[in-house]
Amino acid sequence: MNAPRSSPAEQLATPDNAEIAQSVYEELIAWSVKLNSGIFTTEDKQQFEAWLKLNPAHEAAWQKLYAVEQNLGTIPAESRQVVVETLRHADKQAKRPAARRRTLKLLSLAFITIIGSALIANQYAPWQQTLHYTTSIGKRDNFLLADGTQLMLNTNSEVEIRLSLLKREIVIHRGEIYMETGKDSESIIGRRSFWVRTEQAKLEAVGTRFSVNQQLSITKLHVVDGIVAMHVDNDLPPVRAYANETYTMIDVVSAPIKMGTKDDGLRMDPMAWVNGMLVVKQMRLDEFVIELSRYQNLPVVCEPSVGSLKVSGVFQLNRADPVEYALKVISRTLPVRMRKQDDIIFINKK
Amino acid sequence: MTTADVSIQQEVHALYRSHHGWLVSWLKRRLGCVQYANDLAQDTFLRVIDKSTNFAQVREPRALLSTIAHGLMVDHVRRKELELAYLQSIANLPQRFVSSPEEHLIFIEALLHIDQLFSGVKPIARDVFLLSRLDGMTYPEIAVKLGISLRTVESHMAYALRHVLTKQH
Repeated sequence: MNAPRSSPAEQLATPDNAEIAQSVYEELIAWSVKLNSGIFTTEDKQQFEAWLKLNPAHEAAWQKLYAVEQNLGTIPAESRQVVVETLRHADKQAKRPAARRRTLKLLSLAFITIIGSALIANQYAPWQQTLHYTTSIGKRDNFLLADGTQLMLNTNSEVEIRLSLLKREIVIHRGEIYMETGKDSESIIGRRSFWVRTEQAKLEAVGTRFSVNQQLSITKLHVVDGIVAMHVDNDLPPVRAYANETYTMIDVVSAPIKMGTKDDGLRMDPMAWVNGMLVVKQMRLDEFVIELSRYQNLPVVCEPSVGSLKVSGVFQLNRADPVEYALKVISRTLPVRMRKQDDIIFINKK
Repeated sequence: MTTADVSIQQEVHALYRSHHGWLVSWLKRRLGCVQYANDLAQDTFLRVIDKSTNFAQVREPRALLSTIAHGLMVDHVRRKELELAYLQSIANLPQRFVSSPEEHLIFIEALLHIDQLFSGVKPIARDVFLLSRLDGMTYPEIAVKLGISLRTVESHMAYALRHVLTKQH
């Protein structure tokens, strides 16, 4: 998406469904009619993909349509052949008042509630389709999902979105994401539950804004607003994370570890990346270098003798050379020297 | 529990005490079955809580309750109609069609969803859309099946898509 890199509030203010212009819909309809014909060329498909990337509204409109098709995808293949015929029978019935009254009577004998089906429907996962989003090193991107959820991907991230009839799920394969969960107003069963899955945990969000970071064997969660229930071990009840709290989940420990709150105990602002910044307070230089390296494909080697020096400050990430820039800044205040050799940066004692 | 939660709970209790009996008899008159009326009244109150309305400000609580109850009644009737139509459809199939009760329930849910999605759409446009997107038929195949021209298939498809995309919920 070509969204301008401005403040997060502005960046996340992608047009919601209500604001998508009719002309965008008409263009999408023309594309969709063509692509669904069963007779189209790869060139058509490429042109459509280019159209999608042209404007965030195009993508948002397409997501809306995609959600409809995903719901259709939950119908088992062997039942599909009877859908059209069944709806026709039902049309006929609705037109006859006598038949309607009979239906009403039958209804009082036995009627079905949705509760029972909700428990089983998750087993229908094989029919659900998924969406993939990725960002490369140094990039961030925003996405508006069909349920109204706003999603931001940090550098070098990959997620899978699974919207099914009864559940919304985001699987993080790598990297870091920030979410503002949507109202899900178009779902037929009311607001569906919202889950984020990482290697270490299943996180259930309750109407909320939060960020999740998947690193090698570690999941980090920071809640901005609302509550997130962390399920780490199937045998233990979930632990709840509240606004401003940060937790870490690691493979070998069966409970989430509380790291601190936004104002207390954290050496790094867990939400600053959303604004394109790295904000640290008394962070070890070697830890800082690891964090910084996520944003540029440039190896940094930190000499052990300087690793324990403490770094504080605000560093811009929205530039081509965030690593060199940040290290240049800290070499003015810390007794270190930076040297570049064979596309590797070395940090030594001054 | 916050004070706001407590006050909402109190409001719901007040609403329930004053109007539950009335709602059950309102439903019973229309449905002719007290058990079903009780169930639907329960569903109605659940829906009211879900909407987290500011109850103190509702001037005509009975109008609100009967509107919601009527909507639920229509939904249940439509669900039953779809279920009967489904049984009719599979009865006509040559091969034996077996589905578990769970599959059956989920399928009826999905049908209801599609039905609501296309409410107000010409049935022929809905059929074109579903034959294409659900049955995976190409436009020429749909044209032959429905006995219409290729151009007409495309225009029905565009009509159905426009409806799905701009439908207000």
